[in-house]
Amino acid sequence: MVKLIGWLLTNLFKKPLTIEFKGKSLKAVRGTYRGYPTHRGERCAACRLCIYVCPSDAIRIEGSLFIINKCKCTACKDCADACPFGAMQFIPRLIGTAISKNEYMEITEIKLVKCENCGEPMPKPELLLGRLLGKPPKTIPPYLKLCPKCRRQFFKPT
Amino acid sequence: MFLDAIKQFLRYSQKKSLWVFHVNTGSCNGCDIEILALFSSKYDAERFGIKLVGSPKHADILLVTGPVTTKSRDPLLRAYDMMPKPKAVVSVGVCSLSGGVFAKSYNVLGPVDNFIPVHVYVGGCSAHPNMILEGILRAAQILCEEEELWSF
Amino acid sequence: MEFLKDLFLYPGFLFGFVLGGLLEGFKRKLKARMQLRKGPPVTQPFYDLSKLLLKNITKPYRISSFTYLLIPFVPTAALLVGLLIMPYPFYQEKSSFSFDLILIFYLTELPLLSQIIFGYFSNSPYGMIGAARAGQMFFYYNGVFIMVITTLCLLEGPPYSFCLKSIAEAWDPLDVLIKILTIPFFVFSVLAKLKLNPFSIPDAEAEILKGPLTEASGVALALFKLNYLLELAIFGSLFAFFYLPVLKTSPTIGLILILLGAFFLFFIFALVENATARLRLSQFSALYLKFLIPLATLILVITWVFKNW
Ligand code: SF4
Ligand code: SF4
Ligand code: SF4
Repeated sequence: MVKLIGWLLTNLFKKPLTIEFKGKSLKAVRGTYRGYPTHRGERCAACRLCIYVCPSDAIRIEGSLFIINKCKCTACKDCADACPFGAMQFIPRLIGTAISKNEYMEITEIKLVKCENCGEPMPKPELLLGRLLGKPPKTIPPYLKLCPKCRRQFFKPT
Repeated sequence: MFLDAIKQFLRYSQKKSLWVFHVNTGSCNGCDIEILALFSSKYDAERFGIKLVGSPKHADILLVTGPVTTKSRDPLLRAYDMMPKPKAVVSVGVCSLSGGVFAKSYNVLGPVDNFIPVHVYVGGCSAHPNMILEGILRAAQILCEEEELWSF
Repeated sequence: MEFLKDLFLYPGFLFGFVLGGLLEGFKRKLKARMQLRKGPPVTQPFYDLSKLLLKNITKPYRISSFTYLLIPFVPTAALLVGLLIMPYPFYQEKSSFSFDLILIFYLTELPLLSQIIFGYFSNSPYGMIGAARAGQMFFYYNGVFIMVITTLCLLEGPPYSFCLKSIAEAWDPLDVLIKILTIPFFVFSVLAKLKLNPFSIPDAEAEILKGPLTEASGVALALFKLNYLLELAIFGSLFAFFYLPVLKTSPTIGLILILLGAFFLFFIFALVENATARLRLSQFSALYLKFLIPLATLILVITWVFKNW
């Protein structure tokens, strides 16, 4: 008890532990904070593995738009573990407050390339090749620049 | 002149003294612990006059955590009705925004804003204390902009 | 005119309200600093009160709104009378008569009584629990408080008049020793009277909601808070009157001494509140029955023996 009162009295002359809260919010967090998923469109192949593993249905792909609904995301990191191309990244930042739920939709565009023959959008071939070979490819064989349908037409298995 | 000064002081005090009532409508306790952390030394919320009160009749701001379950729907509505008029609702955590990991579970009726009007959303699972603080302050802003002064 | 000035300005409403608010804010700030927090501004109680004026009233159906506001208003008037009775410097000629200490003691009991009545009246289970607990505590700490008052009254010589002024003017060396001995009992009984931490049993911070005040809202709650602030002012200055030579010096220094004494008392309160945890009701009664009341009686007997030898 005497010790406790001593602590209390010395605390009076110490600086408070409270962190400053200036302006609207505090953005900086420690590097070990897990944070929230960020999608990088140029690495994504639209394989939908992340949609399959996400426990709370937070991810949606509409056309070439990749939507993370932060209203639902629970920061479990399953998507980043499952993504074969490293397109889901976790950066340590805070999820903000919002007046309406629409502010929580994080929309990015998946950078798809067009099939050279029919113009159908398809994932970048160098991503798939890099995953297959384990290193970035030097040259891309011409048949990979076509979408699966056209590929079957041009290179019929014999 | 004099009346204006009094009015301004009342407005200012409304912003400086926020009494918070906390309802748990079936959350996993993660967000509740963060709300308690809000009143600890590090994120000291008392410096803005924020105080956790025990009775909804004293409260200005309702903090809701968790998805609304079948059992907790009535208490939530009753607590909301009991709060006297200039009031705002802050829904904390992913669960109360959309159901989160509990969505589509057999006992979950849906997010909080299906039942009561929500003014500020605070996301995150669990929500960061700093963001809860920011949410409460934003709700205070709404509180004193939206409502007309109670006429004497 | 003179009376209105007394009632609303100097020893009455404004003085008590401002002093009580500053004491409460000071206590909250100190408490926060002792926990290494920043704490609210010292003017926080005033913000709280004026915000409560803006709020609507949600009252239970069965209570009429007249009674709802009357119950907290009666002790406000009583406490104002209590402030007017005390012999504050610049004012002492008009006040102080025999047995005014007894009157102050009764008047400061009224806020608690009104809370108990409100708790039973509002028909909420939490209010009833709080009111029952407050009613049980009532007897113990008032026993100690009466002992302290009686001990101090014995200091002034045979025609015992229970007059605050004559207590404040008793400053022999023996008197000082006995006064110092009674300080802990005064602090403990006032702690319990103000429902501060080790004895915050009736409202238990937020565990049984708000105890007797669960159903109060809006202006009624503001009146209860105002009562509390006035009570703080009265007990703070009572401490100064008992234990500091307020009336022995010039009125200006006396007033400063009153403020110093009150703030010192609340420094002690902040320390005790931080260092202790809430007791159970049985522990509370054991503490009072086993230690405080016997010791206070002992001091009373010793004083009587010394004074009448
Ligand atoms: S972190 Fe978890 S919940 Fe969030 S998007 Fe990824 S898989 Fe879904
Ligand atoms: S983010 Fe990764 S897992 Fe999800 S669709 Fe894109 S490439 Fe596939
Ligand atoms: S948002 Fe996450 S931490 Fe908060 S209650 Fe829901 S599951 Fe628990």
